[in-house]
Amino acid sequence: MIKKIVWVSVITIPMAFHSMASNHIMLNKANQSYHNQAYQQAATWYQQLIDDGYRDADILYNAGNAYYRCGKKGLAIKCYQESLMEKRDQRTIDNLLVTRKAVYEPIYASASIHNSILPVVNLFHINVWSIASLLSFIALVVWIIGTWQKRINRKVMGIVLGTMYLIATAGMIIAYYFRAVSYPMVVTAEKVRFKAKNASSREYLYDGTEVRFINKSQEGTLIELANGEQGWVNSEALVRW
Amino acid sequence: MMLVLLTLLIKPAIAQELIFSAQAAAQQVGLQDPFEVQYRIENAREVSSFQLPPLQQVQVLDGPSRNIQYREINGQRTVTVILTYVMKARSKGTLQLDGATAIADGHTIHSNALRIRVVEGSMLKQKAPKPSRGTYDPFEEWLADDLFGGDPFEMMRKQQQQLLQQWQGTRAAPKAATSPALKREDINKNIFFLVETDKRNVYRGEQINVSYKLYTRLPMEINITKTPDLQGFWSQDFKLPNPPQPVKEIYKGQEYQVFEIKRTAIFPTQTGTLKLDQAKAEGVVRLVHGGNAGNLFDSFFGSLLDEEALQAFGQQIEEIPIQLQSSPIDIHVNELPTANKPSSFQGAVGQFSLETNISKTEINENEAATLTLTIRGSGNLKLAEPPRVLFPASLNAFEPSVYDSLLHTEQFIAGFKEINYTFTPNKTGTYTIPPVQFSYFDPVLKTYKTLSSPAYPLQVTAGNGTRNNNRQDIHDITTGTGNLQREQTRLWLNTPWYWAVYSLPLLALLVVFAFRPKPSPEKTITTPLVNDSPNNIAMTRLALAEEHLRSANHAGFYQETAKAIWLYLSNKLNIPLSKLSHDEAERKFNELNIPSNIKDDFFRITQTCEAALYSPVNGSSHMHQIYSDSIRLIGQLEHSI
Repeated sequence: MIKKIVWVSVITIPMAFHSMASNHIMLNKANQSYHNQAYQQAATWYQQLIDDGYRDADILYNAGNAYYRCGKKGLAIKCYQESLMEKRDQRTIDNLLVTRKAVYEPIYASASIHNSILPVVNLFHINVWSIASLLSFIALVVWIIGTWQKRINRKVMGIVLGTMYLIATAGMIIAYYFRAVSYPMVVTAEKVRFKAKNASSREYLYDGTEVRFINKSQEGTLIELANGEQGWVNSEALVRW
Repeated sequence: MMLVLLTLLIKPAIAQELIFSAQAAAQQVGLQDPFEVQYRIENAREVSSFQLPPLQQVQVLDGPSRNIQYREINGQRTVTVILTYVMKARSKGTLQLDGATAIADGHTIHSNALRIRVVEGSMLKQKAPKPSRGTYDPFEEWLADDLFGGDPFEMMRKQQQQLLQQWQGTRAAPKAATSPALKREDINKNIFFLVETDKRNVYRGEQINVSYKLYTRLPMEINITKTPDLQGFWSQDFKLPNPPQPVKEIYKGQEYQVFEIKRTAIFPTQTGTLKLDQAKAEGVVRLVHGGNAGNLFDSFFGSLLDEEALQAFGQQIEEIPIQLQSSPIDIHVNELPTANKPSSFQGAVGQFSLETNISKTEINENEAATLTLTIRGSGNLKLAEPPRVLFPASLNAFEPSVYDSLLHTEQFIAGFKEINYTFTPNKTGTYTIPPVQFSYFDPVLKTYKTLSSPAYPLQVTAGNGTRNNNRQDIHDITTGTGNLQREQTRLWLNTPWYWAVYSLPLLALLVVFAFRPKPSPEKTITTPLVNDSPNNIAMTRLALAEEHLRSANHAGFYQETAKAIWLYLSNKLNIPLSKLSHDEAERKFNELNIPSNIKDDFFRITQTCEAALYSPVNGSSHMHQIYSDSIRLIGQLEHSI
């Protein structure tokens, strides 16, 4: 048995080190390519690392920069958004806003309920909402049991815990809905025909336009724009982030 | 050559007036069959409206599918709009479709009306199913579309019968062969495959039209099995009629039926002698033998007659497999002249025009604007590189986005390339976007031409604060080695352990609820609820005592009065009722410095109540006195404790 463990260790540990070393080389090459203004090459290296499962916030941020420099605004926005999901960083937010400025025919968000709620919900990752909901639920149950046992007699505490639980759970449900059901997407094609569901003067969407998935049909992907318009576009022209 | 051809085609169109026509795909359709109706507006400069006629007799299944063709000659642009609808008749009989209405160039115009005969059932179902051959048969779709039923040669046969009648009437048609009967070795003289080009000595990038033609004097069924490899060329196919339409052509003194199966525009991307290798086709020809098949023409038309009719004349049909191939063609491709080559030339060859447009000439520093270049014309448009735009240093330009649209017609390939240059300003000020130059080589005139856009002034004002980010460029990358650990940010919500942990407090809640000690009935009475105040409990008991007082229930009255006072004290002093006694009450009263008159009242009332329980001798006036004393006592204790 010990022999087996030794053999497996002898084989796997050097492989793991080799893999890590080659990834460091790849990352260095990507960074060098970027600084040599070989942005397309840099983007390819970064993407390779991301595809290999290294979803580090900094690598996603660098990939976003490389895509931006290549003029691929949609992919840049996807990378910045994914980076922000890993780590909220002001530099990433700045770059995201600069990229959004460059989008042709940008679509501004209309005043709607979900456009008001989303920024609040997006302050925290869905996992933060989930753990907040769980912890507040545990606290609420402890309070209820304590009240039954006459060990706790504080109404205010119960109200606070109940409110916390409701807020955290609502945040979790909304975040999940907008992350997994009606998820965000971005146009990565230079120009894609937009077939509006209702009357609209908009014929095309452009690279970098951020949209929200509604459903998929034979006509393509039904999406909702930031201004609330809905319509179909070719599914190939969109990526999810 | 191409320019001449285009000129011939388009000039008459410009000279003509507006044409608005309607055409149905068939004159007779089945009630179950969908059919196409095409509305075509030609030679318009602008079409602003289109209105279908009332459609009570038909149902629109699909459409309109739009096909818009632009033509521009000498700065005059016309448009042809083709709208195609798929319809289905609602009832059999004669279907009358009135003319559609459109507004073109400011005039209201009407198309012709249509009459279509609608029969019961489906015309399409009457066709015999054909086995799939797995290879491209240029006549397959044509034959599939004919309305003559299952025999794929029926249409050809009918056409040839008409020709035969004409020929027999005039005796003017050429003799095809001198031999009394067609021999196998003569077949190749009467059917062959040609690949033709309109030119063989060209410049790099110049368009060459390649035509694949089948010449035949025999009934046949042929499939193209190989087209020439177009190595060194970029190609684009013309849109030919489907099915191919036969035309008569005299070739080396002989008259042939000619089918143009494929026409391709090729653009050489290399110089030197490039070879278009052989094209190949395979199929069968049908020959008629025996009887009085006197000559080839008789044989040709005779073989198209009904088989039964042929047998009546003692003739037999023989199908002979054949293989055809074209000769290879050499194309000599010359390098473009270097003399007078403009610096802005980037490989475009053909005839083009340039349109430019800027989305805004006044922007604020937080906005983006787009310069759009549209190159229209015919030639190697797809190979043309986007022109360079020398934006001022204070404008941050992005990689241009390019959108190509090519129009393939029967006669020419043309289209446009739209190039969008998006830019953002770095600071406020007045700038000028210099003219953009686009150069191309005109192979007809053999000269370079340069087109130029106007210069665009651009006013950049301070941002209006609608965006909270004033950065003009992105931050640099992070050059650390990064966290090269494989990370998978999973949604905890989607993991079973999350819900397992979530369910634990819920289970605990259920367990505690299920196993919590049940209070005894006595305790239920004597133990107040946490939320009830001592005063409320006492008042509830005294209310019960009052009821007993009214009903002259002495025992009940004294019992409830005593309980009211003791429960009040128990809750007020937070002492369990079981531990409360007169001594304990006195000790507590002393601790709390309760006035002696209140203590005396307490002991007097409680002792009176306890005594009265065992010797109910007092009258109702005494009960009233005790009741009012009890209320007063509780009020005094409420203030004192």
